[in-house]
Amino acid sequence: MNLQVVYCNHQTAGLDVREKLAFSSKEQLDSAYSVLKKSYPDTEMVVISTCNRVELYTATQESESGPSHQDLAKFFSEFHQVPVSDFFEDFLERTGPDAVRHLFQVASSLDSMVLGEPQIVNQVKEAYQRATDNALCGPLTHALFQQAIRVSARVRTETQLSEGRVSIASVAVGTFGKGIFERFDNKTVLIIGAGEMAEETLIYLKDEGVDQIVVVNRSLENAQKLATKIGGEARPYQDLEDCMAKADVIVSTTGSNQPIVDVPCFERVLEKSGNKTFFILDLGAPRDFDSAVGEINDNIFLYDIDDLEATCEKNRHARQKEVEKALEIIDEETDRFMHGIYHRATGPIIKQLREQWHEVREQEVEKLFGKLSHLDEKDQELIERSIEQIVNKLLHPPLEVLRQEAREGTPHGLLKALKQLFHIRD
Amino acid sequence: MLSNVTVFCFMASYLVAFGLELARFLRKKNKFIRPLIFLFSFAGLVAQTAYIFNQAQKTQLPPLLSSSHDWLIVFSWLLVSIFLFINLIDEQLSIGLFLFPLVLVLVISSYFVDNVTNALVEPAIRSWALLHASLLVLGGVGIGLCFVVSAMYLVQHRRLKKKQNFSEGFHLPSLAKLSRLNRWALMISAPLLTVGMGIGIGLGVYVRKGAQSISFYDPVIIVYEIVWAVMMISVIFILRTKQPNQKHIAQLTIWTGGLLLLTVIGIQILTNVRLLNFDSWHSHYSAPLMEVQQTSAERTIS
Repeated sequence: MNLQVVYCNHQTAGLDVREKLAFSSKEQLDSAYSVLKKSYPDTEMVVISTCNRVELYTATQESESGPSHQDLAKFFSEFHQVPVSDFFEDFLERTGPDAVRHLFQVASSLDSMVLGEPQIVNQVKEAYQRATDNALCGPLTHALFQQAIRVSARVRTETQLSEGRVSIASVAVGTFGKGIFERFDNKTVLIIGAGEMAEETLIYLKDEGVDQIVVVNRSLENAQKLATKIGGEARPYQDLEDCMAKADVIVSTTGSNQPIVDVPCFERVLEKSGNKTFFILDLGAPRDFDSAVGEINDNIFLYDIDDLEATCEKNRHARQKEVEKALEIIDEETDRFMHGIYHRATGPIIKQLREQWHEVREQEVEKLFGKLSHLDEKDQELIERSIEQIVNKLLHPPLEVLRQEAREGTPHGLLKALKQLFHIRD
Repeated sequence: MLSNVTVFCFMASYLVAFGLELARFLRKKNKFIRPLIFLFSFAGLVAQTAYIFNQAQKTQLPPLLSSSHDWLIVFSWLLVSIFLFINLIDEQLSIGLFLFPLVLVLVISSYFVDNVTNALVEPAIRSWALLHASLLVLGGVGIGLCFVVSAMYLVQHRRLKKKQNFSEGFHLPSLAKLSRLNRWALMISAPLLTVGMGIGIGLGVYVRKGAQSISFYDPVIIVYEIVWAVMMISVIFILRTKQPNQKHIAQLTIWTGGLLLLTVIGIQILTNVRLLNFDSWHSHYSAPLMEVQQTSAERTIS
C-alpha cells in the first residue's frame, strides 16, 4: 500500500503560484479527474483545491503502480499549461504516515491560514465527495478521508482552536477594515460570488453591524438565494460596476480563472463614485481583482489572501498551546490509522500462514495418534500442546519481523517473500 | 519641596515617557509599559503645574501673561493634560509617540526664551490680554493636535497601503476617525486663532493710544499674520472640498500646522535670544514690571 500527497499551499508558495495550479471550477476539476483516471487507472485520488492550497492525494495497493512526484508535477504542468520549473520548488511531496498526518492537519485547520477556521473541513468533505462521484476513491482513500473528518471533529472538541478570530473575513476586517472605517453599520457591502466563503464573510459582517448588503453573482439565482438567507439584495452580474460604485466594502469570492476587475473597469467605477474610500477584500484564488487596482489612488485599499498571512501567523503564536495539544491528537490518530492500514495489509498473510501451519500440525498429530493408539487422553493432550508450541515458536520470528517492518510502512518485499516461500495465495 | 521645581524636572519625566512610548512601538506588548508611561507623564504634569504656579506667584501675573517662556510652558502643559485625558479614555491608543515630541520641543524651546516679565501688560487691559493669550494658546493647542492627528493618519495610511501590522502594543484609530478629528480640531482652532488675533489687534490699537508705542510693523505680528492667513486658506480649502483626498489633507495639515508651530516657537526664540534685535510687543525685555505699573498708575491718575 502506498499513500502520497503532492501539494502547494500558503506556507510553501505565493498566491501567484497557487492560482496557476488551482482548479477554480467543478468542471475543471472533473476534467482533471478524467485525465488522471486515464493515466493512472489503478490509483485512488482526491484533489483538494481551495484559495490556500492545491493538494492531490494518491493511494495504491502496490507501491510500483502509482504516479511519482515528477509524474504529478508533469500532470499539473500540462493541465494548467504552466512550465514545471515555475512551481516545482514549491510543489512538495509527502508519503506514508507523513501524508496521513498532513491531511489530518489540513482537515483540523492546523495548516490553514486562519487557525481553527471551520470552513476547511467542509472543503475536505466536498473534495472527497467529488472524488467519489468521479469514481476515484477506493478502500484506502475512503478510510483516510473518513478518518480525517473524524480527527477534525475530535480536535475541535478537545481543543480551543476554534475560539476567537477564526475566519478570513474576521482577520481581514479586524486587521485592515477597522483601520480604514470607524464603523460598519453605515457602510454598503458588495459581495461578488455566492459560495460558502461569501456566506461566511457576510455572516461576520452582519455581526459587525452591516445592514446594506448587495450580492452580485454570475448566477442570479444563487445570488438571490444568498441574499434572501442573509437579508440583502441580489443584483444581476451586468450591474457589477454600478454596485461597486455604491459600495464601501467589496468582498470578492468568485471562482473565476481571470481577474474580473481590472484597472480600466475600476476607473469607470471611480467616475461614478467620486473620490470615496474603498475597502476591497479579494478572497478569490485566482485573484478576482487585478493587483494594480489598489494603486489607482490613495483611497483604495485592496487586500488578497496572502496579505493576511502576517496577522494569521500572530494568531497562531498566540494559540501555540492549543496547537501543541491538537498536534498530539493528530500524531496519536496518525499512528492508529497507520496501524490499521498496515494491519489490513499484513493481516491476511499472517492469518493464512497461521492457518496453513496449524493445518499441517493437525494432520501430523492425527497421523501420530493413529500410530500410537495406546496413549491415554492426558498424554495425547501433552503431545498436542507441545507440537502446538513448536509451531508457534517457529512462526514467531517471521511474524515478529513482519510486524516490526509494518510499523515503518507496508513491507511489500517481505510480504512477497513470505507468499513465495510458503505458497500463500491472495 | 515643589517650590524648587525646575523645567528640567518635568522635561526629564516627559523624556522617559516618550522613551517608553518608543519601546511600546518597537517591542512587543508589555503590561508594565502603559502604567509607567502614565505615571511618568502624570509626575511630569504635577511638577509642571507646580512650576507654573510658582512662576505666577513670583510675577504676580497669570501664567499666560507673565512671559513668553511661561506661555510655552502652559502650551506644553495643555498638551500633556490632553494626553493624560485621552489615555484615561482609551488606554490602547498610542498618541504619546506623536504628542511627546511636540511637548518636548515646547519645553526645550522655553529654555531659549527669556523669562523676563512682560512689561506691556497693564492692569487695565489685563483681562483682554489674558483672553488674547488664552485664545492663541488654545488655538495653538488645536493646531498642535491637528499636526499630531495628521501624522497619525499618515502612519496609519502607510500601514494600510503597505499591508503591514503594527507591533502588538501599538494602536492607532481608523483613518475615518482621524480625518474626522482633524476636521473638528481645525474647525475649532481656526476661529480661536482668528478671534485671538483680532483681540490682539484691538489691544495694539488701544496701547498705541496710551504711553506705550507699539508698531504694527512688529515682525512678530507680521509673521503671525502671514502664517494665520496661510492657515486660514488651508482651512477654507479643507472645509470646502467635497470628497477630499484625506491623505492630501493630512499632508497639508502637517505642513500648515508645522509651519505655524515652527513660526510661533521660532519667532519667540529668535526675538528673545536677540538674534532678531527689535523691540517687539511679544518680546519686551527693557521695561521692568514696576516701571510699567508706575506708568499705568500715572496714566490712571492723569
